[in-house]
Amino acid sequence: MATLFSPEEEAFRAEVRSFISEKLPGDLRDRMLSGGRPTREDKVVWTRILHERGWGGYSWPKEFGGPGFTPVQRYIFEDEAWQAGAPEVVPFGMKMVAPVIMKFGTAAQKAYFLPRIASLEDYWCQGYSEPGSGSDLASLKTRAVRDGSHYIVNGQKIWTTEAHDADWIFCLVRTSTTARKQDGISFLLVDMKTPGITVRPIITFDGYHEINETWFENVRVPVENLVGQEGQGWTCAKYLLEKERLNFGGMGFCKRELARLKRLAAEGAVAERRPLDNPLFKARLNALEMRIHATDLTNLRFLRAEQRGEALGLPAPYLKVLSSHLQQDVLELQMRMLGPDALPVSLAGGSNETLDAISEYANVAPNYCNYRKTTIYAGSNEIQRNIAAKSLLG
Amino acid sequence: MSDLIFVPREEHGLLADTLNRLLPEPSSAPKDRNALWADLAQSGALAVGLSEDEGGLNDARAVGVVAEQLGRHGAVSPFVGSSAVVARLLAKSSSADSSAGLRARLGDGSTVATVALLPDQPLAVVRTGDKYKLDGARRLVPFGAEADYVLVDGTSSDGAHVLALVPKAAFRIERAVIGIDGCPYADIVFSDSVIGGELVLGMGVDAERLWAWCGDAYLAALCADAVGAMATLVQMTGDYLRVRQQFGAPLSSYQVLQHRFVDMDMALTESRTVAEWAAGLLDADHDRERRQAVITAHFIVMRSATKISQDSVQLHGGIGMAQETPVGRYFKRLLTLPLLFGDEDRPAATYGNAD
Ligand SMILES: Cc1cc2nc3c(=O)[nH]c(=O)nc-3n(C[C@H](O)[C@H](O)[C@H](O)COP(=O)(O)OP(=O)(O)OC[C@H]3O[C@@H](n4cnc5c(N)ncnc54)[C@H](O)[C@@H]3O)c2cc1C
Repeated sequence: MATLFSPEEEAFRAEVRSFISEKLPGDLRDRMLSGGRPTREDKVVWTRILHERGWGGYSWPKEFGGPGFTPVQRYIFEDEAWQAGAPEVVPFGMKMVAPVIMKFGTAAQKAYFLPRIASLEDYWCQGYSEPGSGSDLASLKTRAVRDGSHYIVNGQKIWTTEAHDADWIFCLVRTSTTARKQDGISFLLVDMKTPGITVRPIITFDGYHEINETWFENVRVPVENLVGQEGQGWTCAKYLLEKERLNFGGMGFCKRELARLKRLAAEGAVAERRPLDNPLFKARLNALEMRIHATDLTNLRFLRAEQRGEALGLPAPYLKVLSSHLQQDVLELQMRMLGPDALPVSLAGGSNETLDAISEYANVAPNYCNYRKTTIYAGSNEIQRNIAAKSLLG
Repeated sequence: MSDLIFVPREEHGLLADTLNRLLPEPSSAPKDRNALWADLAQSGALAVGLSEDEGGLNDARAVGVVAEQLGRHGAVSPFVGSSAVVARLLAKSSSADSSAGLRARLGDGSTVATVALLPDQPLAVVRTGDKYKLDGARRLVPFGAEADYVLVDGTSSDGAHVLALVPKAAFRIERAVIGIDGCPYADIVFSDSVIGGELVLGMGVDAERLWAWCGDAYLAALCADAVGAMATLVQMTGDYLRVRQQFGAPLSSYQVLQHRFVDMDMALTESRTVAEWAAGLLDADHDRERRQAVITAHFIVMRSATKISQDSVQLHGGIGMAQETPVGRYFKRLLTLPLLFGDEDRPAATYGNAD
């Protein structure tokens, strides 16, 4: 018989599992397993725990202070972490800016930033999108003009996730308007405390504050915070996309939320309505579970190929499209299954703070609303399909 | 009435125009609910379901026209429970003569009624002399904390249905909440609640039939409301696709978005068909005919609402996620239907059994 994982990998899984069950604070776990969203503090607490174990930069190679997990070990690690109710680490640091610094950064940048990312000393956010440049990112207009030992940055970023929580932002900025538009872009690291940066909240329609407008007015950024060469920003950005093409948290999230869906269906007042005895609901649940399996295994298959050093298919666009829909669909089914129980989201006259006071159900419909974002961000699904089509059809 | 479905009466167009002018722009922030209600009352819209003598059009289709405009403009009001269901039920029930005063007050908006739609908790009704005593609870009653009357379906000691209109003095608000759809809901409790016999609108088989009509009338009006909300989303999305530029061209020039948008409009078109059909048959003599139409409307509108609301956000990109953009408000408004009445699985399962 063939197996999905080797005995060594199973042993690794057991090690991760017991580490998490021992170290993850119970109240945090319970909040994550009941649909809560992690706070900045939650992420700091958890990343520090990982850091102590040497897993602060768990996706990193040994030479940069990571554990040097194989791609499949990383997969196992994240799978366990999600399902056990660990909060996601801040992806903008560990998974996005760190690999770019490793590949294109100076020795000084590596020495300064990487350890601070692994320990979550620095909380990062991503400044790519602008009001006029979303899918067409290369048209971005935020200007960085060289002035002696500094760049002076002016412009506006938008939809910046967690800018209000962040210590640093990595930005794509325009350093030249004469070159081909991709070649006039540079990759800049900016301290959020620099004078001239203003962060304004954007409330999403689920009622939460997670994204922002980030404004730059004559922000002076030392030249040593340029990553790679001037004009190499697009190369950095593309490399980042390639790095991140596998192993993003989506499938772990799906499995965790599928488990929640089943628990909600079998518990309390909802269980009395016997949703699991309803053949239509059962069919929807089963279909969803099988789809989650198929995508999760496809992810694993891509990773096996990567581990063998082979390029297989179109992992980035396919996993993005498949996983984003599954994330949405599992939350949608949670909401539909709850029916009227998913309606109340706040007490009349109250604020969002009272949400939890109502019941565990109060976050289900807002989460469904919030996750409409997954098909929009990180390269919209339409753009992913454009990329795939170009690759398949020329 | 010899009106033809899909052939609007002249009054329908006038009514729609009046409301279109009266109600705030679909993209503007929702108006204060009391002010909105006063405007609706003044326009006569709250009375359209009543008879001509009572200042109405005696026309379920006209009720649908009002509901659609409310949906289109994102107006939050107890119109459906009060005007589309209770006021018209009073005219149908045996107490039609004695309830004329109440109907007038519902028609001019000075009194508001609502319906306890979720009869999933026990509610015992006991007769004592010429009065009735109620004990039990109803949850998530739309506008329950604001209504002067709530219509409930209870059970008598011999197991018969009892349809009763309970004044607010006779029940207690246990909890008032805001729904994801932006509507207020209340959990209400009846304990030793005594009401006069004139407020019992039906007993036994009679009550069962009337209650089934109430559910269908509510659902049909909600479908019309959803058609309005979907129309707004289609409009906003189309406008956005035409103005938003990426890669040096308007989004409307990308074929994949063109097709998505056409599918949205197609779904809206089909929804309008079934919503108008259901409204037209709401007062049919045969319950079965009405049921089939309403169930079909529920199914088709539900599917369309999911598609249109999700695609509207998607085609707006990041800006579709912002609370400031009205898209999200209509997206959430369209959740009333699946959360209160069930998603398309419910009508898919009950369609054949409609008797
Ligand atoms: C919750 C959330 C968090 C985000 N966080 C960040 C962040 O931290 N940092 C950051 O930089 N950005 C972030 N973004 C921005 C995100 O990357 C952009 O929203 C995304 O790239 C789409 O750009 P846009 O919003 O301008 O939409 P547009 O590019 O205007 O697209 C609108 C619609 O048109 C479609 N479309 C566009 N062009 C084409 C085409 N050629 N063919 C077919 N369809 C097309 C899109 O797929 C979309 O459906 C976030 C977005 C959201 C919603």
